[in-house]
Amino acid sequence: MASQRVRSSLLKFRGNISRRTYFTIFIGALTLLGGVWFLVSSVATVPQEFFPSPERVASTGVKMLQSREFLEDILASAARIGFAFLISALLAIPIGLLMSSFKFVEAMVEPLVDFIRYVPVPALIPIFIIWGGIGEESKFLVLFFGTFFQLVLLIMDDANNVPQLHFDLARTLGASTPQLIRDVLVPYLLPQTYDRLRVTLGWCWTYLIIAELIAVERGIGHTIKEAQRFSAADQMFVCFIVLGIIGLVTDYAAKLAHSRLFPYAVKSAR
Amino acid sequence: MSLQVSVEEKSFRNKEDLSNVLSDVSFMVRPSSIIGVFGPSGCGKSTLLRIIAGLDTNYRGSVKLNGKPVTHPTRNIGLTVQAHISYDWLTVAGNITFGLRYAPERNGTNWFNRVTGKVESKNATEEAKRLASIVGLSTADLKKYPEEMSGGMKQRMAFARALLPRPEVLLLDEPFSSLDFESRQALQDVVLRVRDELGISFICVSHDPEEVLYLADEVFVLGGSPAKIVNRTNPDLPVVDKRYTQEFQLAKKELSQWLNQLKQLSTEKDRSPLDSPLAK
Repeated sequence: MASQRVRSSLLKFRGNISRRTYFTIFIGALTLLGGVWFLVSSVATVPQEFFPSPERVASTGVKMLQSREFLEDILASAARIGFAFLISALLAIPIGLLMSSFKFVEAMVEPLVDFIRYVPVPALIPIFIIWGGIGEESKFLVLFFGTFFQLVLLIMDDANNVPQLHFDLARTLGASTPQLIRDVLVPYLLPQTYDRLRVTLGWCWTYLIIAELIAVERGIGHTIKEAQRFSAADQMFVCFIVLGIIGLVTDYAAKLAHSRLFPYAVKSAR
Repeated sequence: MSLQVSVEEKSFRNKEDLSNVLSDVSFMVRPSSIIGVFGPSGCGKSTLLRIIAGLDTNYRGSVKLNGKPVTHPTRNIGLTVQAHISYDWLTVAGNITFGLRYAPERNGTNWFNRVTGKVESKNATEEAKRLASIVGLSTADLKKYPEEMSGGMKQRMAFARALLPRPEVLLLDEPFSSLDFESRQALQDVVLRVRDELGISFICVSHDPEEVLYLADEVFVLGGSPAKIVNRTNPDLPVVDKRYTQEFQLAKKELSQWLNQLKQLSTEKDRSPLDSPLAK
């Protein structure tokens, strides 16, 4: 009876499932993936250098995580992302809000943003190297260009979708234009902006690897490149898994914090 | 208090076409009075309220409050609308006292409070409790978030929020139309009580004949294309249980006939509403 109920709730369109069922399925999917990996690596005749087994990746992973160097690589990558993403968000949020609030700002900024947005970031790497050399500056530019121009438009679109009546009613209560931005626009957008930041932070990790292909001495991208030189696929797999875990943990932590920070947004979404 | 409304022409540009929405709509609002503006949906009632509120200044004519032209929204003319607009990040108490941060007397507070919009919590709590009791919300409701409230409760909250600056005129745009019968009647009685106790005047826009007849001292029927006042009635009805009197029912029947007539005319645009047999 209970299993029948679980089965019907699984197939219900946009239906809810219990937290326990959710995590059972989640762990099951991971186990299945690991099982397929184990089977393929043990049955196939592919050399371990190209397609390492889970045991080999696990033992390499333990060794790498015990070394100070790999931890420094992770920290170097995280620091690059942290700095570039912070600057990108600090500029994109106010500019996006101003673009939505004042048509002249939109007219000034949007064509430029749209133009640059469609130029693939990897195509810009040579010019970033000319401008910023092979130091941290060029990596910063890759990460910044990869996120800023997307984020600014997302913020503007979200701001444009705030119902006009919210502003009209505040104006009849005496709000001036700066007060409308401070008291209506910003708090209305906070939960959505938080979500936008969470998603674009994921993109930032994608651009990180591209950024770290430019001569670097530290970083996860650098470790992957070095592993390629020595055909050490097991080391690459460890890097992929670490990247995935960092993404998963930050995303889940951000989701958890979202419901604490914006309880009203959770209630509205129900 | 005196509010003089005179909208000679209001039109909207739709691509190449210029459509005239309102024409020659003039009336006067006296202190502590309730004006009912009645007409079919989409006839321009809400546009008229936006003009009076100072939210739309792109029209020919004038709106004068105490002799001064209304050129922008002011705390002296409040507004509540049909959609339950709430500032969801604030509690009900925060919603009700939302306008407190813009009170002119706050100019004397310190710069930090002015920059952040922070209000004295003791003052805000007292105001929230006072207004909540007027509109029939409990102290426990004040701690809730708007999403936890029913439509009727949200509308009470919106009404309390509009009352906070003690406006001289409060504009009600189909305020109770989405509510159930009991909530609607209860809120209509709140409007009458606020008028009597605080001396606020109201302009109530509605397509519900019973609502305007119950609330208003004077009812304007708005209709046609462009919309103009096609009938003015002064329902001098007994106050106690007036909904159940014969005069009330007759007046309601007449307004309903107007509504049907105007709806019919909007589909036959070539006929003028002034040709209506009811207008003669």
